[in-house]
Amino acid sequence: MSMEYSTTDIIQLLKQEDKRAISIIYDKYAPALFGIAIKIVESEVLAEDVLQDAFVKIWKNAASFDEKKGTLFTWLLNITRRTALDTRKSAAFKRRQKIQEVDFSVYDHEDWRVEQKPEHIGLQTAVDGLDEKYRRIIELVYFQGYTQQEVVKHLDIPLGTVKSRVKIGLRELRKLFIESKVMIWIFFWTLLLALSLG
Amino acid sequence: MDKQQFLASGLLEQYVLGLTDQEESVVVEKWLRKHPDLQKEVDAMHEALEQYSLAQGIKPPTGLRSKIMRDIEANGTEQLLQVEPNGTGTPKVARRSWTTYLWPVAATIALAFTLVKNNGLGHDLRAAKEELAQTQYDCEAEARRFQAFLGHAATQKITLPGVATGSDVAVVVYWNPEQKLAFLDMSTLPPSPNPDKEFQIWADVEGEMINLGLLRQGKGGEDNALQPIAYLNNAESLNITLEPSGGSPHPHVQDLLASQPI
Repeated sequence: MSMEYSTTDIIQLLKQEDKRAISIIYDKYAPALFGIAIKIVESEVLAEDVLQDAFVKIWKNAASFDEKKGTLFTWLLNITRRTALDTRKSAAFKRRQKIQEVDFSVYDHEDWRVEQKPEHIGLQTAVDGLDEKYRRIIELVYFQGYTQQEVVKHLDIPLGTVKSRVKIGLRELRKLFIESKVMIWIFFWTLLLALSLG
Repeated sequence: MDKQQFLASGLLEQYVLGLTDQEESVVVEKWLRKHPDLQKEVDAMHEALEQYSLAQGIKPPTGLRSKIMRDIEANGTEQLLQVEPNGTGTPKVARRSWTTYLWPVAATIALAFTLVKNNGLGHDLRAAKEELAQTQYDCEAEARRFQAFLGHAATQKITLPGVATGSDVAVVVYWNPEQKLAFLDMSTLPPSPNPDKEFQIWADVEGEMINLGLLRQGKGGEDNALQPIAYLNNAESLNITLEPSGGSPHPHVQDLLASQPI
């Protein structure tokens, strides 16, 4: 699977404007980017268009990617998010939208999640381990591109609370992923041990 | 700012989430260049966010991949090299009893359980402490900002005297045309005479009253603080009226509390 390509390999292919980069990026990141697009445009059909546009932009801007300015994923996320937000502003989206206020929790539903891959063992535990209030902030800021001021308005909480939740939320998330990595490590080593014994 | 203060400010996390402005980003990047451990921290946070996004992914419909690849094909000249996913990752395992697989599962569940348990009460307390520290930091930063604003050469103190005869009302507004900022000192505002009504401030611009903000008192409001109000370049006077709770689009001038030309 594409997991065999490291981020450095992908970046190199991308810079050489080698189309394999797009295939690999698609295999590795399309579900994550599609999930984010759905959260913003609230429609699977529109999110497909978003992803299609975003990938063309990724390809056209391949040479301009600068790893000094940020990670590959952040770059991909920014392009997808901007495309999704533009779509949200467009007439097509407004025609589709029947209600003004959108219940984002609809898209938190389990059914929407991608099926678990073996390399994601433990990740779900980490995601579920993050307190709802931190998860919400990260969703709004990271996935949907809200500013802190917009979060204040949207959630009706003071700016100080938003800032502290951004800080703690990200630290917690980082900790949970370290723990999930430890769990994956233990899983494989005990599997190895069990196989050699059994 | 020392390292501890820098970490407490939460700037690092805001930087990772792309929330810092240009000036703040420069500050963070300076810290990152000086402290490789902080750079490591930033990398780890980026990785956690990436993993988080991957874990929350939604599988796009089949067919979208080839559609996109066709688009890309139409957008370039190079020959597309098809990447075949090589599904050789599955280890070849001879027939074994299903119990073989039970051990790792059990070990992982046990560890997960321990981690979840440990994350309980201690975590809440830590989070509360962190939140308190952040609030303190923000309060101090806010106080510094206010002090700088009040001490700024262009900041004018405008007192709005009460319009009723014999009124001792004197509401203080700080007005800065250079920074285009304005604050109202809530401690100088008298309490609302009616629980269903609130004060609202307006600027008179060429005979039209423009809303500068609702002055929330009591619950949810901060009676002793400076409250930001909108700044208007061409305001000719400032006026405070009593309006139904939640404010009005147009002022009820018969309920004028205080007024002052600028």
